Amino acid sequence: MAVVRAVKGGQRLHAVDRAAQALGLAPGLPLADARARVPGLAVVPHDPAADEALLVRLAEDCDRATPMVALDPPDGLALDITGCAHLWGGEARLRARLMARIARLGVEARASVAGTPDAARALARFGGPAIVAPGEEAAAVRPLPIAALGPDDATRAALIRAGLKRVGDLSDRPTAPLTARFGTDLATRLRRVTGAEDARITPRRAVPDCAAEQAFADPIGRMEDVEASLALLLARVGHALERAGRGGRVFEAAFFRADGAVRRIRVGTGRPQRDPAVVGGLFRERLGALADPRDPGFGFDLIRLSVPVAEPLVPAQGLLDGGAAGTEAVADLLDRLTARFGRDRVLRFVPANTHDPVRASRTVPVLGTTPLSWPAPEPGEPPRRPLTVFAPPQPIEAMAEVPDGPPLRFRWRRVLHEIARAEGPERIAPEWWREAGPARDYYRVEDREGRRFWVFRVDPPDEAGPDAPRPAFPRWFLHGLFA
Amino acid sequence: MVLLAFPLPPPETPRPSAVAAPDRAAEPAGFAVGSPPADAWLRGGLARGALHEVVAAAGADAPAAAGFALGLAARAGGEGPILWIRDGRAAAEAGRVDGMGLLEFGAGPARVILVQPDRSDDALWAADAGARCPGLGAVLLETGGRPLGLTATRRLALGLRASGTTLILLRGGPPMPSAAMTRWRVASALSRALEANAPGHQAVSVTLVRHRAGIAERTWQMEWDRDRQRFAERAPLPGAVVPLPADGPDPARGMPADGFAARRVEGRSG
Repeated sequence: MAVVRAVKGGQRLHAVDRAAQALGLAPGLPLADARARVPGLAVVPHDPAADEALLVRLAEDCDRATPMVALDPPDGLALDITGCAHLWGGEARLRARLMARIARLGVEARASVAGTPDAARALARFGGPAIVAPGEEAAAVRPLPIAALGPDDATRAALIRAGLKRVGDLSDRPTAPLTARFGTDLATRLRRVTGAEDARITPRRAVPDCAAEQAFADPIGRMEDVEASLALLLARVGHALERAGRGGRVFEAAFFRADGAVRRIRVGTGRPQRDPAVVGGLFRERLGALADPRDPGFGFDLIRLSVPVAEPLVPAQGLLDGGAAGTEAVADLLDRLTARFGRDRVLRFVPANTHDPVRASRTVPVLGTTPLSWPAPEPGEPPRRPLTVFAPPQPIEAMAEVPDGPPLRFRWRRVLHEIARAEGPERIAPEWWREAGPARDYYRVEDREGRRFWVFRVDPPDEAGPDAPRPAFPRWFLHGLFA
Repeated sequence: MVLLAFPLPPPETPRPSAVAAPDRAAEPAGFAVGSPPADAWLRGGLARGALHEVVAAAGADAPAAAGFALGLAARAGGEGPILWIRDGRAAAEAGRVDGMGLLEFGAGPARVILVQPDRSDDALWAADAGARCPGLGAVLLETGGRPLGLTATRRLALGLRASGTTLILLRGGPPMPSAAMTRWRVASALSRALEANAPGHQAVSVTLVRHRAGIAERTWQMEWDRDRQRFAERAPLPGAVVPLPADGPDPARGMPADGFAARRVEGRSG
């Protein structure tokens, strides 16, 4: 079997399995040649998105070993296991357990442990000892081909032409001529691969302030068990936060399923929080609102609770006035609403600095934002802007007495509205740096029953000559409703 | 949804004088609508810590009803935040709430918190959570979906009584039994024109349909006074026929003379 992808107008093999390899096929071969050699070749198109999804899934699963996991696309993972290995009984056992897990998922993998990420990467990709003792990186990478440095194609070709085929050939030489010929990039790569220079990986997730986890010998699946262990973890995290004088703004529960899938649930709070009962309540809202209550599958074998965002939390003083208690009650209410409905459904209004009426006000999530002050409306005037607006504006059939005047009557949602009062036009041009479009002439109109509307007219563009195909201009739209 | 499966509370009628929660003892138990004849008719105003229902007289009157409900919420809430809960149907019907519109209405966009659950069950859940929160000024629940029944509104009313928060229920459709303290029917009304026949301040025709304390039905023409955050009585329009619900009382009889509206008209023209 082989995976193909279109390269420069032709189908080429992108990856092959072991059987195909045994038949002499290799990545990079044109598909036509491959078919000529192996007529019965099974071919699948290359799907980079699926590859990445698998990689992300494996990275999630590796999260159980260390919080610092980085993707090394297209087909690698980098784990920083500094200070974690002893929890697993040493580097060798950690590596063996991770490899066994990945093999169970049906993925073939190679892994190396070394002092720097680049050395480990080169050893894993190009074959080398599984575990390199500290300080031995330079010796371990000597037999690797030049490609292990990850140079670009031109540099690699030039090095090979110069007879430098192995990393060892390069590391024996003085760096200065290499830098002069190939730039500092190659020298840096060489130093990193040989362990002379260290570059840390950038983990996919920020390392949390504080975390607690619970592993289960037998995977658990019952809701009651999950909630009980979550409560236990919350209590442990709460103690840790209290000792540090901090409170969490975001809590994340990660449920590691036995089959490798990981479910994460986040709750946010408006102010630092560490009370297990309160945070537990937020998690219950979040879980209760999920259509698929985190589908345990074969059960979870690890639950981790982490606090990605924490802030100082001063122990609460006894409140003398009732007002502060009310503010806290509101903050707790907003946390609960946000936990249940999501951040983008509990909103506050903030002003935006623009003349475009549609953009003059924005809604932002209540959590993590502070209210901004609004200008005061002009006293004594009726409202200039409608309470509710339609996005996009709704087309209406309108009739005006004069072409530039307000509508006499219009039909919206099949109802005819006879206009009794009108004010306008107020010309509002679109912001040209955002979008092109015709200017709009807005009218505030009131029909004979006292219903108030915000309508606008779009005139035909000036350059449309008399023989241009005439769309039905002017067009009228209903943009909003006044209270 | 388990939300509605709570035990029935004993039926009881909260009285305006009895609804003040202990932590709000310093505040008046009620809030005035702002229009003297209406407040006199209501014996001082509406109760805090209770449920008030605002129903649009017709589908097209929904914006007017929303304005009246928002005005009541702003008056009831004092300086406290207003939690405006709209379900998906309400948003589809009337569009999204605009911050500039809130500002121009005079409801202070900074104090409004918008909650937009999709389903009306979730909206009810949010309203229930808000009704039990003592720090809120008011909760405005706008549902376009399934109307709330007696049981749901009773539960809300109990929560409100404990917290002292006021809930305005804004809905359309036919009358439904509910545990609301008052029910209002709101229709649009023609505004007093400004110069050049421009639409004036928003006017509504509101009818007190039902009051738990047995106050009789009555209709008023009101005008929202944004700058003073109150509903003022609207002067009769010269020569205009004011549309009224067919079953409403006679406007000519129901309008006691009051100097305030007349003064406003003079002030306007001067």
